[in-house]
Amino acid sequence: MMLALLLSYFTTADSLKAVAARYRHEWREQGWPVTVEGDLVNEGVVSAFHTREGTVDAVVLRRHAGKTLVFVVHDDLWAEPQKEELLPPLENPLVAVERERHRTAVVPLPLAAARDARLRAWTAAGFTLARETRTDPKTRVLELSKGALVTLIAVDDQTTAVDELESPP
Amino acid sequence: VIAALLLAVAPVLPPELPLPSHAKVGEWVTYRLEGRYWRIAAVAHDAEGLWLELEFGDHPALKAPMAAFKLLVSGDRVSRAILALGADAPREIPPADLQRFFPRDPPRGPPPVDPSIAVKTGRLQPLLTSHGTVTARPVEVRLRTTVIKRLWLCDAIPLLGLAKLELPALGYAMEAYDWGSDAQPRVASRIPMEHNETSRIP
Repeated sequence: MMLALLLSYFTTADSLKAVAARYRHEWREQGWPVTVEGDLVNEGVVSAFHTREGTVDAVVLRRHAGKTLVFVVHDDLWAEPQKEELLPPLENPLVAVERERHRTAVVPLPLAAARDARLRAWTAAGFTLARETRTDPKTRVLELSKGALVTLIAVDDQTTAVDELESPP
Repeated sequence: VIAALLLAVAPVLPPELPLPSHAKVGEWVTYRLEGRYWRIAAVAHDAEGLWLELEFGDHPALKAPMAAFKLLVSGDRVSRAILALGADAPREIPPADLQRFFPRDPPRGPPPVDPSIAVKTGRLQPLLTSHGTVTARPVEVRLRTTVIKRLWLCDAIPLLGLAKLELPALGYAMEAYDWGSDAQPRVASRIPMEHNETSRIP
């Protein structure tokens, strides 16, 4: 089964409306049915539907700290819906994509604060920190008990991307 | 929802033109209709008949149709039908429900003659299409002196032999946009075309 994936993210000085228009035009030119949702000032979602395969490519747009945050997402629309919450709750994400035991999200916190918040949430869910790695100044990897893995990457000074994976039983 | 969609797309198949159950496998034609496109293709033949695919979308490539149908036809009978609506997973209409969606009209006598309606068949003449110029014969249905429908019939266009359909009073036109003979099955590829119990949609 394909998982919902946050493929990439970036910030831009371009307006949210301009970014939405660019994706809408590009995907329509490629022949995909496209929908545009949101006020296109503070938030918006542009989706291109691959109806033969039952998948969707989307950009989730948020205005944050004077910039436009762009999250590129791919999802499988025909996958079975999630039956129960398996990951520790995540509060106030800018965007979050979740499927079964995998979550990708972006939170409006600096890297250190995001790391502390996620470790608290996982600890409250019964996991313990086994090892922490700083692969570079912008990336931290938390290896937790039961094979769970949390990766945090600083998008900028105030924004952090989070990838969380709980190993199957 | 399915019934509403079928009613919405029914006008694209002119009643004068029966389902092309004797088409050659591989033949396909795409029509442009008010800025949108639909394609009909003969994709396979089996013991029960011919598999036709119909796709509808707003881009001529139809990479991601908004609706698609896969029909197993024999004569005017549809014995299997698979629907894919929007981004939903394709589903097969249960055989017991096919009659509701594809009713077979009982044999009727000739329709009553309305003297105010006449059919006029014109001479073969060039007709420009997006695929190039073809030779087509106009067939007009007239109410007194008004043309209410004009069909351009062309043997070179596969499946329906239809180059263009016009309803002049409405400013409506549907014309052949592209065609060929290399169609492959591409609708509901997760659903096998072989007729056995495992091919049924859960």
